[in-house]
Amino acid sequence: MRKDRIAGITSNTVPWEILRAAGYTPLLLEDEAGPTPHADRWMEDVFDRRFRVIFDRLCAGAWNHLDAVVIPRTSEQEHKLYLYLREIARTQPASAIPELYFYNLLHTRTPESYDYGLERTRQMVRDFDASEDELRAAIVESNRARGRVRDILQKRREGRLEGSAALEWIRGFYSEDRGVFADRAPDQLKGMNEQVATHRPHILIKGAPLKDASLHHLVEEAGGYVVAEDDWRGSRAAGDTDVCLNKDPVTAIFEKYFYDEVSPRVHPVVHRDAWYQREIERGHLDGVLFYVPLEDDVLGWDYPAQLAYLASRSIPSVLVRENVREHDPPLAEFVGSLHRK
Amino acid sequence: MAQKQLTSTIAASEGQKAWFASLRERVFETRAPYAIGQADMPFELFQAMEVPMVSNQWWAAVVSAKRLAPYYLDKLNETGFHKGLCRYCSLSMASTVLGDTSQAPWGGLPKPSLLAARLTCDCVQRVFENWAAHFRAELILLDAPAATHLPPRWWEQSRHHWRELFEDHRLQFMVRQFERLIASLERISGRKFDPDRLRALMERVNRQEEYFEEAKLAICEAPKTPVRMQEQITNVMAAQWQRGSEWAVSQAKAFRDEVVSRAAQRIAACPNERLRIMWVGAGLWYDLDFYTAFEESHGAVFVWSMYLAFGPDGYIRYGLDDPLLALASRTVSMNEQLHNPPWANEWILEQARSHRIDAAFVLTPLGTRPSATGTRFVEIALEEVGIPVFSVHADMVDARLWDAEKMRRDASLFLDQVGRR
Ligand code: SF4
Repeated sequence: MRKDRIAGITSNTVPWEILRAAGYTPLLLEDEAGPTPHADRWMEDVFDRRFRVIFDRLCAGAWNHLDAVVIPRTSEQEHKLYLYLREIARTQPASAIPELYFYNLLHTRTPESYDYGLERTRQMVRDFDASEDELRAAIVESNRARGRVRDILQKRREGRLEGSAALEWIRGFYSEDRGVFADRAPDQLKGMNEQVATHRPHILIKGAPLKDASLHHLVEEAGGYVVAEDDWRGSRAAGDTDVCLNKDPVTAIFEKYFYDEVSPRVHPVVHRDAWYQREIERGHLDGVLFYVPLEDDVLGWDYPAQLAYLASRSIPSVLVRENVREHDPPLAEFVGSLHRK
Repeated sequence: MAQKQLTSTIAASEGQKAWFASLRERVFETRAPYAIGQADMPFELFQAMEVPMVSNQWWAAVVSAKRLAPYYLDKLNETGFHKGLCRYCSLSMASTVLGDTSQAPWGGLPKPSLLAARLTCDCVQRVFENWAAHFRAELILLDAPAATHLPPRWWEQSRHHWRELFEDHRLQFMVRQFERLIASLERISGRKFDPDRLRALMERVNRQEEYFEEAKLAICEAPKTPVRMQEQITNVMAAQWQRGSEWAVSQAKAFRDEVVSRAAQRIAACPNERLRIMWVGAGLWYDLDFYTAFEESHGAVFVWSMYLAFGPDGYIRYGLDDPLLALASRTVSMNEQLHNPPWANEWILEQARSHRIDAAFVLTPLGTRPSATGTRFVEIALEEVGIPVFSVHADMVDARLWDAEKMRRDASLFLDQVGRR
């Protein structure tokens, strides 16, 4: 399998296995510092900084290490990002945007969306010319990395790994070669036997996608222990299941991304909230931190119901509206008020 | 508010009020089913199944025009939904579930049997989920795969070559979703779906939009517009929400007749017309006087909005042997065509040319942020061909964010400059 081409991906629902089988190394496109003149010209402020940076760098030709960019129908911002890039590629021929591919994965859990997504996944396999053997090999590699992510999360649940460190580490699942990521993890995990969470309240972070670990750091500085976050960059990176090896690989890959990945477009709400409610029912949480900044357009609609659910379980919570980066008294007070069960 | 100049405008307003009154009566007295749906839903299916549907956006506009939006939006925020969330699609919900719902216009919306939306964004499903849960009403959501075939000048293909334009896999998927919606409508209404009936309705929709096209051409060609933009909107939208009905077709015809006749007689909506302005975006429903505020001072007349022009370009479908597929092609990209690249910028530029536009007012929705996408592409496309743009950062329904005086001052300064060119 050739692995010398790089495919930029914009989120968790681009089928890593198909790209890998086609000889690409998938790489999550991340935020980076610096001005974004192209985004400032073409994009409204509704776009998250990360999507602005992606648009900007692609228009500028600054990411010429990418051979392709694959965007899924997993959020509206990604849909619009695709349309914007297509239009720039059409109207500004000098922009040298890499080849764009759109993966029309839907997240309404209906029989029609299932059939449609499966067919689109088959089309993607055809478009990328990935063979069945290569797909199986990629599934094995990717599942191995998922296993290591679960090991990392287990260490954290045991109180032996800070939430911020876990979050940083799991980034590698999206930005590194998954085989290398999986190979390296066991040695690193081996040395982590010391309890770091004794008596510290266990906190779940829930809300808008986390840009980095700054919120985790704040909670930790205040004495809290972030035991989980409802975020595809953290606790939900590996999902509940691996890609099944006992069925047609395309169906198995599709089902993994359809049933076991995070997207703001998941419907109905019972599926969208299933992970969150399960975490609460496990009884290991001392508090929940809701992160719903005012720029959020989506999660705020779910917040009142999620809060009510939490209140019905008598679990305290705090609401953070800003992208806080420095000491935040209400947050510190909240963490200080919690007690480890 | 400027006086209505067209008889058809008065008829459109009265027709709509009468329709709503009879809807309420039927729902309350005979428990007849009705639905609330997003503006880009296939109204034709509801029409064909005789389940009346109230457009969510239309109702929000009515609530806003009655200056009730601040009251209901405050209630929404007090319930825990934060102030940054979309208002256009949630105001109707707020007016039916929060605070004193009897204050809502015309007695308010009764409990619907069905709520329905196409997932053009990530938020609307949540609004509708909350709403449906409150009413314990059935909820149908149509998912929205993205278009990847994006040829230029879509409006030249959409009438006859819609099969190719909108991609077979997207059309087939939408038809399957329609089948689920139809099953619901059959259950709710107790009627059986009849494709021939839908086909006949689709043919009438074509006729209706052809009338609108003739009215639009008259506006393009007349030295001064025979009809103000607001009156265009009243006529067009009253008919579009009931498109394909006998009333809607005859309303469109009456409008066409009147506009064409006024154009032939060289009757100008504003004899003082010196600048032809286009309004890009949904309306400012709480301050419709804004659109006539610059006629006297600058001779600036709003002559174009998407509402009339999109009728023919967005709705007409020829070749109705498979009416569900044709209807799918009307539904799969409607929102994106109006607001996002490549569709909106190219089409609006074409509209600006054909309507001899001197300047554009482009709305960037504030309280409806996800709907703001595509506006920069539109602005840049217009500016690149020398059409000056005034960016209006405002919400369509939330008057709390609107400083009417300041906006009039700023717009006047802009028009001063345009006038001097
Ligand atoms: S983004 Fe548009 S469709 Fe979605 S809720 Fe807001 S106004 Fe409605």
